[in-house]
Amino acid sequence: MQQYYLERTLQAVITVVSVMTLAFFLLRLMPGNPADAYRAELIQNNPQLSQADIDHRVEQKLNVLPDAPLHEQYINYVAGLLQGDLGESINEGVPVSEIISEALPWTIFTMSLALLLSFAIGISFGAIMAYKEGSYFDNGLSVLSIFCNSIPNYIVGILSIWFLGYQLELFPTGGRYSTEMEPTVGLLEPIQTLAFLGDALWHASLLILSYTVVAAGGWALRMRGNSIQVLGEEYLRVARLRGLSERRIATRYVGRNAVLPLYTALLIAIGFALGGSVILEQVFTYPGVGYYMIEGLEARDYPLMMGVFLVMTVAVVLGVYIADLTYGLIDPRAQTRGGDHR
Amino acid sequence: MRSEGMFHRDVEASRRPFLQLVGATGAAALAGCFGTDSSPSNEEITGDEPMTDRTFTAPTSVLPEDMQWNSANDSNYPDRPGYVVFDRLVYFQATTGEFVAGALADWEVTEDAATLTVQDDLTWHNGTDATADDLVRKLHISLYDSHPIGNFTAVENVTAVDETTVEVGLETTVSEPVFLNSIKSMLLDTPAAQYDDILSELEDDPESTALSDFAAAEPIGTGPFQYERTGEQELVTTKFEDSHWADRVNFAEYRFRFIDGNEQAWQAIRGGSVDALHNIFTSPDIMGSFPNSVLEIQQPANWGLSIAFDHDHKHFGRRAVRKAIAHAVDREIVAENSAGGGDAKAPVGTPTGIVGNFDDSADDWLDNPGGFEEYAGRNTDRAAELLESAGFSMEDGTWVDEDGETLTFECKVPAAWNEWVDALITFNQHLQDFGIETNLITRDDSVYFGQDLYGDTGFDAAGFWWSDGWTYPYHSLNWNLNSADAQTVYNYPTSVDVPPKGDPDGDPETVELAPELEALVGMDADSDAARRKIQELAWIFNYDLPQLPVQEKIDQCFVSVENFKVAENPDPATSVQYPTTYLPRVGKLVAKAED
Repeated sequence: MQQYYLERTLQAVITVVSVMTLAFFLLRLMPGNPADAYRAELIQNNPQLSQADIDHRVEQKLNVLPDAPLHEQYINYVAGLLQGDLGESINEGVPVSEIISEALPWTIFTMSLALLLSFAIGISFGAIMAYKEGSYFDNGLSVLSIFCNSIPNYIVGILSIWFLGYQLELFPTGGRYSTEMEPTVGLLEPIQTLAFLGDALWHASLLILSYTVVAAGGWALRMRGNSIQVLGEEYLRVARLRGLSERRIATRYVGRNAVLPLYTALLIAIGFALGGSVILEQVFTYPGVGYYMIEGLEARDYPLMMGVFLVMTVAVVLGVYIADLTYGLIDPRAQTRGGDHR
Repeated sequence: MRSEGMFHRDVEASRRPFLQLVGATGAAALAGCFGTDSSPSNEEITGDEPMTDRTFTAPTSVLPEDMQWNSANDSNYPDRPGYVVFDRLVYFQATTGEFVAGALADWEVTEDAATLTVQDDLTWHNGTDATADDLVRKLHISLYDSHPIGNFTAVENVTAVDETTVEVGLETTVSEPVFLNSIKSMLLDTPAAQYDDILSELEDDPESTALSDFAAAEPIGTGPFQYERTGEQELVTTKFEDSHWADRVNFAEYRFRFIDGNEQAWQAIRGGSVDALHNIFTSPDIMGSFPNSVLEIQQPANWGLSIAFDHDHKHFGRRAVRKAIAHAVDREIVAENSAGGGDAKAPVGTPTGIVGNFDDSADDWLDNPGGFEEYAGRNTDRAAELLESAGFSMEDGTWVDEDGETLTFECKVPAAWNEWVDALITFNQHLQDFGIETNLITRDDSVYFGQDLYGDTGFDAAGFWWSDGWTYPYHSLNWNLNSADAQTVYNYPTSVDVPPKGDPDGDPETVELAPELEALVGMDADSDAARRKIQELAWIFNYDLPQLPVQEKIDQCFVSVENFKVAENPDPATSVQYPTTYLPRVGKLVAKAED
């Protein structure tokens, strides 16, 4: 088993390094560079500036832009990374780690809530659908789930902004919290903290809803499939013959076994949720890491893009890694098979 | 993150098209279909409106919490709020061509010096008096920062004469409009408390990056509203009672709400969450979805699309080809399509390189406008005649040169500049109808500007601009005929052979362009000599077509009169750039009395 853990750890590290390396070079292969992007911005904003003035300002702004060969830049980047230095944002002029540490909690806040909500709703409905297999309820919800799961979440976002935001004016259409709200999170100020969290939740509602509606459909369909498979197992017949209550069978036998395969999917989804935030955060003008990813992309801000990309990669790899390491703990059959296999 | 800017995002360009599309685009479009309207109308401004507690809200595209207030640092500088918090030195009324007082009360430009007088009751928001020393600091810093004023003067020539007067010694003779144009975008925004040390660093080392590195957390300005606080979504500024504009301001707060993208901005004014949009291209169908209480105010931008030809190109280096293209393309239709059927793009009348096509004032500079070639468009006979005279012939519906090579080219345009793309689609269609094979290439902004225009990739023909936002003809003529951009972007020669003005059949003479423009810059703008020189240069432009000017942009500002009254076109004050930031200063954007 130790060797298994070691190999999985090594795999995770190699994956992160490979993806990071690939991203480092691919980003620099994109057409345009920070100087081009900054030049474009200057020209758009200051048509009176002469070319010489623009050259001067580009040079001044980007005097830190490395002109070393790519491989040297890569080595420097990795060396910095090993010391916890993600570099400095070319466009913002502040450390990338500062931008990410400010934005990441917001993305985690929205995406984790959305993920948990979608998971809870999805598996609940999925289980009921399986129990009522073939009924109108099952058929109706199956169609609805397929429908929801087929729509890109940003389309749901647009519709929800329009209807719930602009038409009914029930929710804010952007931002993380109200202007008048003082961000407060502290045990000593419970009322202010609750008010702030409530306000933040209110602002994130449509974003969370957009993700949840789509993802819940997927979870429901998977749960339904798993549950139907479990419902056909011999041991359920035995359980019924033993006289166990249907409630006990549903929760302990069907639910637990059907949800087990979803555990891995959930952990992986945590990582992918960060990536999925990129477009949603743009739609809702929500300054989380996804929002800054696009900011970095527009300005060809390599360090910022790399930093956000790295966070997303690590999140995905970590999700898979934890799933790998812990699945055996919650499902001993996998542990045995894993051991046998080794 | 970015700074807001003159042509940024909500003006000519609509950037980040995909994400804007998936943003509030659909929502905004859908939302426009709904709603009832019993909107109040604009009311006459009497000048004695009482003070109110009202808040005027307008958009900003910089996240309030990320804002920094050093205009020389492009990251997260909030341009529009900057125009409220800081005073410009002078304001320019585009429709009358008149400069009016800002932080400067008066000015005089003579042969060897410009004398600038600061308003005598000008006060910084931190309570200290703004004096001539503050203006000197601003000018010195600007000169170290490569401001265009450096073309006429140097740091050592800028000195304070007394408490309110600054003398700028001129190293070259420069006419008043040229000098004032060069300072019209300048803000008095470098108070001693924040910039004295930076200036010292620049004096010690002019290459220091202290200025561009500095990020002021809070602004200290002299404008009518002072910084109060920033929140997640809004910047709040409050009326500055010691401002020299204060008597005319009758509302308590000016807020800026973070709005990222055109669609969100349109929806915001539809829904009433903002009172104004500073400057945003809006087609008639979108305007139709606004409440009746929203008024459009137009300002000439003195800037617009042209087609730049690579003069080193085998075909475009030939004048006849450029002229043929000018005759083949109907600029009126191009401009109309570019404006989505509205009037926000004025087609260029006679291409002379002089701005003022929105009201035909360009022709006022010409004694005999009819003596210039109009290139009216869709004149395929004349276009064919020109190409044939240059050795081209039509084969199977396509023009080929004397070597049998097809007259074909790629026309590049920045992909996210929707109006340009629309214009170029029509432009290409007209040329294809005429038998010139064209291919529209849309390019990423940074690639377009960084590599195609100003880099090594180059272009055959490309969307460019034929005026740099300044009005006096010297600027646009110099831009087209003699600027570094002309010589490096579209490889325009430093001298051209043209016949005498008004005599297209006369013997060509070689004209060195730089000395001609240098002569014009020093001439009294009102003199006959300057007028003659302008006409000679306009003739060269019209005859040789360094670029083909297509249209002139008209900025659109929108103000809701639900709670405010505002001056309307043609009041000259409305033609000041970003009227939402200028009109409150002069009492032409005032709050209605509260119920």
